[in-house]
Amino acid sequence: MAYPKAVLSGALAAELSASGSLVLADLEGTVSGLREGDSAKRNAAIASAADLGAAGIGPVGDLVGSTDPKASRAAHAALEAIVHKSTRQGARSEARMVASELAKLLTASHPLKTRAEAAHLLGMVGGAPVVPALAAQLSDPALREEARLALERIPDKSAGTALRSALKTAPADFRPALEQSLAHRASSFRTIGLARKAQ
Amino acid sequence: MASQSKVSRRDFIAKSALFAGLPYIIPSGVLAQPGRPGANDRISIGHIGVGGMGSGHVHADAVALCDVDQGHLADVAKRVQGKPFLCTDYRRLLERKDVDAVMIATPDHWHALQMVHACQAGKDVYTEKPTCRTIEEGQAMINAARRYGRVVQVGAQGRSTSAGHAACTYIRNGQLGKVSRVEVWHPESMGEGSWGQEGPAPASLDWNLWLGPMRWREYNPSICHFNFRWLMDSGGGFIRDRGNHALNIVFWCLNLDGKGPVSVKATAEPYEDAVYDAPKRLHATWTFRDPDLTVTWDQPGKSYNGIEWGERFVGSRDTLIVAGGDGGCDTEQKAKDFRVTAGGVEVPRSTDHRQNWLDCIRSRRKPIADIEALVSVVTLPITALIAARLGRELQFDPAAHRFVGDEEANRLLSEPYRAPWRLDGV
Repeated sequence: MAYPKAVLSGALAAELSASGSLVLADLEGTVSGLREGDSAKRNAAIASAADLGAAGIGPVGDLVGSTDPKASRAAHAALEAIVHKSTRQGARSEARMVASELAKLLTASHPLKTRAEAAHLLGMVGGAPVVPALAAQLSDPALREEARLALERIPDKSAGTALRSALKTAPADFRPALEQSLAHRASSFRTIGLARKAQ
Repeated sequence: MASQSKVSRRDFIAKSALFAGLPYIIPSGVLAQPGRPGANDRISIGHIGVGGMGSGHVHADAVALCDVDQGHLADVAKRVQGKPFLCTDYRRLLERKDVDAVMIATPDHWHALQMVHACQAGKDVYTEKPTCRTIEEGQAMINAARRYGRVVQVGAQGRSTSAGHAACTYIRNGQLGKVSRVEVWHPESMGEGSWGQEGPAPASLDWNLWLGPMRWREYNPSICHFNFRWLMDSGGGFIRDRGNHALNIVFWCLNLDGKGPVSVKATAEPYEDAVYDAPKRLHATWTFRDPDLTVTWDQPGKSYNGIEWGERFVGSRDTLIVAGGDGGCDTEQKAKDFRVTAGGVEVPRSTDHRQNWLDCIRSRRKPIADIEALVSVVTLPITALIAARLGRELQFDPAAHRFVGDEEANRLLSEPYRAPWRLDGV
């Protein structure tokens, strides 16, 4: 089934079409299902969401910010499912597209809950290409903590550079948090298992 | 002056206490080498988290109580003699020199941080299960215990039961032959239908402190207090709760402490209609090498003898069932009747988990559920939840404590802490 044109940018549609590895799911139907009051329909939508791939990130992500707690919870689960599935072996390009779509949700035009969840998930799936988008949020008091946590988790060294750079301009009350992230990245925990220095 | 010098420091403090009308109670921190109570000294205990399970840990002679919920503090303080020190921030409790040891019974996301800080403050520790939320936290906890020379018991009470001891002795003496499979079964996680409503926390609850290192979320009465277990950030479902008890018995009986799986696969099903994000149903399989072994967790799974949850050891000659795995565990009569013959394997015995901890504080020996052993155990729930989340089988290197060839999985071995909380010095 084809994606509705309204939700796909031309570039993304072309990439999806070219990759051939993505299962094209019914995006509108799934998003509508996530809004259902009926739990069985909601859960069916969650179960099918993982196959939406990058195209599902935007519409499902915005639903995370819904004031309906059931729709928000369902969207949260669906978003996680899309993200985690994209990290499977041999699907690097899909993971990159998913991360790229998540980064678009960081901007202030989206509900805060959506932005926070996008940042959280970027910590799990994001790489160097999304570091600038996360770094930009370090100056936003509403999202800086989630952005910091995400950057702390991204192994690419550009994430550390972004945290260090933010230290120069961050307000005094946020600097200790940035230092905390830098310390954690530098600590031997990055090589868990080789850290048993006390023994 | 000469006569004064003949009065020992111990006598002087004891008599001073009597004259002052205080109970004849002397915190060991005053008497013995700092952090090392003498054989006859009383061990003064402070409690961090006194609701639920933590409430049961508090004895009348507790010297300090801490809880982020003033209601818990007020309730439990009534059962304590004298006037215990009360606080909502555990760091105030750890500063006290009259506290020798602490019992931690907070939600999962606090265990590692509070245990490490307690070790750094020179306190011996009893911490409830699950040991921790992440592989990184587990390594930090082991390092803290060893670096600061603390005795750390985990609340894996199955190791202090006669039935657990009987099962362990029976299996370690080869009565089942070579054990190649262990099946653990458990009912679904609880709380279906709970949604609650986000809003301000009650005035008696310090919500920011309840969250601590956990990423921010709004208060919801459906997750606090007991139901924190059904959130991934603070609980992880039954596999990290009773699963730790069950898997603790598996590790103990098969002498697996310090070892770990080489692969894990898991599938999870969510709650149908609830605010919770931990699995409601979960099926996991871990594979071990040396010994070659498969351990399965089925939630729900086939129940044996009508037992709600337990473990079934499958050996080349026989099988053995252990019911439960916590302080109320039981096993089959054949294991209870077994007696070790000359040259057989004697398993260390503890009949009281708390007392074993106190005895070890005095002797400075490792307790029956030492932190290192229980970090091995919690590796199973942690890796299963990651495998379920990612929806794929994962290879694990138990020596390096990392997944093999899966960067995204390795990112989940630690969880960044919300500021200002951090694991330092370990």
